[in-house]
Amino acid sequence: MRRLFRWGFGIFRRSLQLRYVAITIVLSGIALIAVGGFLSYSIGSGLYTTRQQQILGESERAVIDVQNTFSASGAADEVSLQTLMNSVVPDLESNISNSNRRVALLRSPGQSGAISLQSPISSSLDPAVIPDDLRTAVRASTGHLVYRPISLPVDGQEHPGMVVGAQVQVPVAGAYELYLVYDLQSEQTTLDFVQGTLVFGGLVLIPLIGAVSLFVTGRIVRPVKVAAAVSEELADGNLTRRLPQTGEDVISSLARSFNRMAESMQTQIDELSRLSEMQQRFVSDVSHELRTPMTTIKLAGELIFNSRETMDPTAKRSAELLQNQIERFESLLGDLLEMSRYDAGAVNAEFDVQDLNGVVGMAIAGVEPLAQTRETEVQIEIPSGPVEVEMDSRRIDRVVRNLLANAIEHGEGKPIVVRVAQNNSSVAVSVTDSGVGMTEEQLEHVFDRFWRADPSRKRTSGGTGLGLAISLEDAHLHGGWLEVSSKSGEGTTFRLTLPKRRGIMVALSPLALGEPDWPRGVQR
Amino acid sequence: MKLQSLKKRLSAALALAAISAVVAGCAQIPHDGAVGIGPNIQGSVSGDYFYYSPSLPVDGMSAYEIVDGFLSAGTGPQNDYSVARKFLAPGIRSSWNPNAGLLIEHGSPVIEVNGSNQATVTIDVEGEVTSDGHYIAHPTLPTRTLTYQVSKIDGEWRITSAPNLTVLLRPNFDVLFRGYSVYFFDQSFHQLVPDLRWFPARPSTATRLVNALLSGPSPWLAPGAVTAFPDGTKLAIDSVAITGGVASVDLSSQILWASADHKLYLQAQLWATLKQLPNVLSMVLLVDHVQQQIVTYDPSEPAKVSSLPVELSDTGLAHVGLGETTAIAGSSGVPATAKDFALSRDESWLAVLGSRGISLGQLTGPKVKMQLVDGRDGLLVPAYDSNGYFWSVPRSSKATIKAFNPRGTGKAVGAPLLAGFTRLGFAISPEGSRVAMVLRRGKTSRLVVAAVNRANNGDPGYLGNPEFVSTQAVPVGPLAWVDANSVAVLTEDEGTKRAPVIFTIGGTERRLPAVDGAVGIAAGNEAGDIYLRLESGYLEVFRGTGWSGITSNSKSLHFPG
Repeated sequence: MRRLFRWGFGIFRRSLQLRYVAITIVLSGIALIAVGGFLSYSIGSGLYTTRQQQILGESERAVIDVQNTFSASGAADEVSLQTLMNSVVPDLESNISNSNRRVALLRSPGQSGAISLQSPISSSLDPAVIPDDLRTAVRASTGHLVYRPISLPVDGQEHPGMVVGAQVQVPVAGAYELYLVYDLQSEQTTLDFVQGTLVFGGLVLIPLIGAVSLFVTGRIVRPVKVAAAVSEELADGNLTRRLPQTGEDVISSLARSFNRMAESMQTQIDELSRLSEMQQRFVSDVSHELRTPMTTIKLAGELIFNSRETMDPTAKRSAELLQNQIERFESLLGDLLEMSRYDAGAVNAEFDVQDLNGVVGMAIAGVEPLAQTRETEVQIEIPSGPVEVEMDSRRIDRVVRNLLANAIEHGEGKPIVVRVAQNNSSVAVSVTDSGVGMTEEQLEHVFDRFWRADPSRKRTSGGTGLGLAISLEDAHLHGGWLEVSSKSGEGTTFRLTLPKRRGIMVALSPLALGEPDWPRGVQR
Repeated sequence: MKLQSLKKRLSAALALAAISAVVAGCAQIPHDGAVGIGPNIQGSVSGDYFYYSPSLPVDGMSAYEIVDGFLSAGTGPQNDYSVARKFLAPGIRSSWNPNAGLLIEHGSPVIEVNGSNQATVTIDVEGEVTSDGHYIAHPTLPTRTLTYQVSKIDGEWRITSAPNLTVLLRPNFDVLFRGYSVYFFDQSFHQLVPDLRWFPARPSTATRLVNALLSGPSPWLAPGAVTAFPDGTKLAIDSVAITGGVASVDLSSQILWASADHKLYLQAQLWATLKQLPNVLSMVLLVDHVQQQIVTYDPSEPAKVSSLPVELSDTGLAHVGLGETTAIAGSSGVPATAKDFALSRDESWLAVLGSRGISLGQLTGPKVKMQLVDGRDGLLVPAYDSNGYFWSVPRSSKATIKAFNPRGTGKAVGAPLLAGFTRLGFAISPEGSRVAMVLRRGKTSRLVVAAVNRANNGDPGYLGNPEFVSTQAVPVGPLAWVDANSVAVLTEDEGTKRAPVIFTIGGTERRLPAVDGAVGIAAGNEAGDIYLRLESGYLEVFRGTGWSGITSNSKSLHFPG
């Protein structure tokens, strides 16, 4: 039940159209109830007032007739008076248009001396329905009618009724009270019918209103849905997609604005990508152009460096410095070229299935001299069997090597742990150091080009600042992930996760990413 | 976001809807409520007319005062003499019937209470009204003794036995009582015959009038008047209520046995009787509470040619107007010996009393030809009735009265109960159902009315029981019907003066100022003018308050018909 409710509420929240249809139905239902209530009330009171006036008019005539009949009577003896009185009730009852009128002629109590006659009443009338306060009011009345609505029991049902009373002077016999009792059930029936009709009309109208508002909101929501779908396509890169624009209304003006926005976005994006392409080509061209002089410089530098023993100490020192910077420059140039290849999308990877353990071992061996220099121990946790994965081993070697170099550089001599693991679909390598770690702000920029965690730090490892950026491109080239997790003062973990075969989507990495409480970096 | 405000708005709307639903639920015909005041009905209820409001008995009144107060309370008929009934012991309060009789007292009554709690009331009676409304005049003021029994009830004197009547002084009678005609038909159902009754002007007057109508004409009138109501017809409800000018007469089912014509006639009788009441504008007839269709039938006298009287002079007959006379064509043939005449209502037939008797002629040619039809001696003035008969009445009690039809065939009219009276004057009522005569036996002359019984073909058969009109006046002889209800009679006054007295049949009399030398009287136009003919041939007409003279030289003056 609760789930059903939640499901319903969920649909309600998600569907604009449904929500507005529901609101329309509820509000128009309320309006219908209010209008219906007012109508029913005013019809009811109108019916009652009309009938009351009619009853008072009839009663007025009846009472005047009766009083005049008594006044005109020459009867003085009991027999003829009683005959006269007895004639009053059937006389008033037999009024055909008021078949529901009943009559009682009751003697006012507390009269002595005058002769006492029997009080005639209609056979179907229970005199107890005449309320005592009305009788009191009749006795106190002077020449006017007195009335009161009552509840009239008829065949076990309570009908609405009306009693009209007046004083009547009977010659010799004294004061009597004439009561005319009317049954208002026919008015109630009419009112019930009207109310039933109103309810029925309301019940028919509400679904109708729902259908109409569904239709109308549907007409409004459809262009919005189209706009949403088109926006989605635009977001997916289909910059030429446009909204259909017809007519002059607000929807078509939205479409026009939307299309204009898409147009200008497309122009700007094209411009940006052109600029970016120019920049990349410039970098690529610069790198290529620098390579040729660089080769000459390098050859000349090597000559100088090889003959340094023959130089005085100052020149020797300079030759060594030159050689060092040439190597750095060459490596930077290589990285730039690699980077520009990626940017230009001109990377050719050579995929084949190899053992990841071997690649990791090779990488560790490659950084062994650096580790020794920094007196850093590299610990290895790898599975016993081969971890076969389809990859470009040269690039993966470069990635692992880069990660290891970084770890050694920032590990402050503490041991570095390299882990390899696999599951059904993917393999992973993680490199964890226990060094200075990074702040969250630093974590955000760790994969940025030419970014350094500590600009003042000695550039012993000769990093170009492009290493992690290239590693990230390499990981993406394989359809894998390169993630970082670090905490300032505790250490840093990089994890490379690759699918076992090309084209497989990586769902879950076989290795944990750092400690559970460490913040994670965000890949841009 | 705006969800919160949306929720608020929604809940407000829901509350409104709930209120509306509650209101709608309440929108039904109420089953209970406060007592309300309806329209006023006092104005439409026919109340009693309050002329006098006699005092109620107060504690400590003596037996004398109680009887005196009771007699005084006879002036208060409102609410069925409720004040007078307060003087009665509870035991007879409802059985005492004040409508059974009325004495018109002449001066204050003398009340004596003796030791055995009996009050004797001595009254000089000027007149009385019986329970069915007949007025009986008592010109001789006979003394009537009424006996009342009083006793102490709860420490107060109350009347325990009282005769069923009330006592009024003449001025109070004149205010409280009205004379109403109850209408019957002549035997041919052509014209209505009034029968005067006296009732107090009360809401119940209509009821009493209808009851009087249903119980038939007065005995003396019965031979000459008929009613269209079948025998035994009564009011189904003993009440003729008048509401908004409409009188509802609810009769018993015997009516249904009446023929269609009779239904027409009885409706005409009812309507003629009820329309005298000032508050009756129309009538509804019911039979055993079921309303009947009313077909109007308006019987009326045949129209007269002129409202002016006709005089007989040496030049013949002429209509006498104020200042000018218009001769009637053909009447120049009337012989000069003619002493008196009678003209039929349509002024086409003429009866002339000459020295040889009564001769008859038709006024068609340039000169009327008279033919003797009754050559007896001592004939009175001939008289035409509205049916075209002319009556020849001999003075002598031994001779028979004869009625001649338009063809001149005479037929004796029996008058067995008038034997022994010398006839001094004769006049027949406009509808021909009644005659008024001045009769003399010995030295006293009296005015008499009697009904005329006719055969089916309209021929007069006999005169019914004579009704002697009680009066102190001494009629001389000439008389004329003023209208359907009254007769003007010349009566003796000082010396040669003669005073016309207008007698209402079944009611009061009115004396007009005496005129010296009056020998003839004529009356009978719609205006009720009284004309006198003087011995000198001059004419006097009574207008409003006095006589005005018309210079003429007439031998006789009569209205036609």
